[in-house]
Amino acid sequence: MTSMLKNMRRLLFTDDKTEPLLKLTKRDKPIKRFTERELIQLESQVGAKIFGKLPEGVRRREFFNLDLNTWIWHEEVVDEKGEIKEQTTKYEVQPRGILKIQPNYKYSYLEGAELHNFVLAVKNYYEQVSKRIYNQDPTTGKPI
Amino acid sequence: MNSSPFNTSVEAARKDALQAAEQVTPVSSYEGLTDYDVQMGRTQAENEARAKTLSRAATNPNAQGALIQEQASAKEAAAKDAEKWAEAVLHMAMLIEYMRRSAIDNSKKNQENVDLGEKS
Repeated sequence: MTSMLKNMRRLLFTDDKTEPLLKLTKRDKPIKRFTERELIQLESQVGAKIFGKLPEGVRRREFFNLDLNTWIWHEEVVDEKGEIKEQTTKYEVQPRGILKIQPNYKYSYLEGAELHNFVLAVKNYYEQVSKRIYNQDPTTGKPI
Repeated sequence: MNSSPFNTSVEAARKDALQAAEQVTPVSSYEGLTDYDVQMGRTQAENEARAKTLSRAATNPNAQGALIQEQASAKEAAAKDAEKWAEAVLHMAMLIEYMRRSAIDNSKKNQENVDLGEKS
């Protein structure tokens, strides 16, 4: 994973924009152009690691920013019977707060500790993807 | 006597009221009363009741009014907190969006450069 990120960073970002074209070889050629979806998938892998090691029974976890106003938390849990249960929670950013939307029409605005934890996770996500995927200093926005 | 549940309820409520009245902080003075009360024609009983209420609110921090005010302030603070954090989250999402767009543009440019390099 780390090497993949490093590779991607190297392919996506060139510190020296005046680098002669002849220096680019087939080896340096990006495998393909990255789409927004692919970048979100990469971010999601970083986002999943914000919360540490997966707890027992949790098979897969994703946390990512879908668009300006939407954050997604997705988890796949294996229950005692060995069945996989999926849970997706959508967090919608609204002017009056963060609306949590869960299956079966469960809606609630985040408050208290839950709100603060969510904001901390978002902050961590921003810092991690800035550094690890986009090669930028999260504080200054300048290339690392 | 009448065994109607309503009567019993009323009787129980009266009992509770009497007990509650006994627990009220004794009123040592009627400083809360002014000439205005007299002018308004409030009776002595009304004045005494009002003084008791004033005294209770002043000495009991859990008085209902204070509690309601406290709850309203907490609610207002929580609402402001939620607005502030929502704005912060939106701001971070905007920065992420910007980085994504730049990465997509850069990868596009890089590929174009590679294509040009290969042609030349």
